[in-house]
Amino acid sequence: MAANAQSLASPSNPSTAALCSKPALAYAQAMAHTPDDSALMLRYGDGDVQAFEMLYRRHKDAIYRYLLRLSGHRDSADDIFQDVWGKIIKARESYRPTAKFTTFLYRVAHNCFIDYVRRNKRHSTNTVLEPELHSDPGESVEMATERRLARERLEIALGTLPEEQRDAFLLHEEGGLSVDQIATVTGCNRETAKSRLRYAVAKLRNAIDEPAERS
Amino acid sequence: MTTESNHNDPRVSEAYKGLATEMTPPELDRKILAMAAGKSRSRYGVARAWVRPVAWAATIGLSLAIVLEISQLGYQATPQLDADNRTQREPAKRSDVPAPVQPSVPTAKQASSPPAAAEAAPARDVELDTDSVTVSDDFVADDMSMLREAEEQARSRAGSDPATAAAVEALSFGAATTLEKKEQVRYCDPDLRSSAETWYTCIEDLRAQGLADAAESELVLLLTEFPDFEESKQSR
Repeated sequence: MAANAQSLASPSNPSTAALCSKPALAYAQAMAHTPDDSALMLRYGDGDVQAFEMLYRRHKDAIYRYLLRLSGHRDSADDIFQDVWGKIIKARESYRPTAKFTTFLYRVAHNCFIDYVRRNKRHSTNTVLEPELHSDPGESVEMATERRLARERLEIALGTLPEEQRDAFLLHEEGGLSVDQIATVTGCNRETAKSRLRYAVAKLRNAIDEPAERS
Repeated sequence: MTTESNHNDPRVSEAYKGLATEMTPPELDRKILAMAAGKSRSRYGVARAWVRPVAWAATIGLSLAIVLEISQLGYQATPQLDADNRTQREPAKRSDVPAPVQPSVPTAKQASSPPAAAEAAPARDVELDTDSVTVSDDFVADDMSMLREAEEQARSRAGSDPATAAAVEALSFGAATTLEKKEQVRYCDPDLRSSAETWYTCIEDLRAQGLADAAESELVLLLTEFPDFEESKQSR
């Protein structure tokens, strides 16, 4: 984000030079084009369905992947996903932008997942999802194969992580949440959240770097 | 390596991003967007359901209130007109009553004309006519005071302009003449008319005031009412 802002503001970009000369105007235009999540939610609370659509399209894939990796089942992910957005829709009138919208959204998703697990005692997360493979056209066969194997190893490692560590890792990767925000979402203290995230990253790094040991 | 970098490994992030490319199924998108639109519509649908009838009711209520207010204002503003109309309508009503068939007695329609009534109407018809005039007497007093007020105001506004002053004089003369015509009818009250002597005294007063026509009409009425009355005896 910051990198994008810098590249936009660079004098070499003639289209943004005018914007840079009028920072207030540029800020206003930027705000007008990319409304804040909280503002969109408030607009939806006022009945603006398009605001919700924008908000939904902004977060839907990340939330879906978060729930898919967390639950390990597409059907479960679908159910929880609907539940999450249903709660977001229901909360449109009572929503107050006291915290970052992403934190609110992932907290709802996390709680929905916990509720789902409680409702379905037989739920297991040991299923390994089939990765959707996309190879680059100019990539050699060896490189493509190596990349595919690395992803498979990561997928397996992610599936074998303890649920709390996987949750912390997914919140960090998909939601872009900081350690403090992860602590808020998962309802633990900062150190615990940081520790879970660190262990998760370490295990996944080992899975990528040392495939021979695992096999 | 800092603690922060322990939970931020770019290679792991890159590998994960390459792995996690799943998208939300389109049917889920449709479901959720429809749900969002439906909930929003239902809330505003409820609002629309009562806003329109309330708006209509408010419009009708306000319109009725305005009409009532205007009609009440109109009713208050036209009592004088009503009274005038009554004085004009009264003789017309009376004209519905068939006039007694007498030779040389004018019709009721003729009697409705005040000068004619004053000159030659028989006592009964004249009595009817004076009744109608009596109804408007209250308003005569109002007319007088209003005219005098208007006259004073006009004079004060005219100031030293001779042309305007002359116009005001002319108008006030006309108004005074009209008022005098009205006043002459009421000079002799019914009390005074109760006896020939008192009535005649009233007539003499009228003459003394220079209202000869009024005095003459009153005398005719007196002679009609009291045929035995002799004027010459009284004047002596």
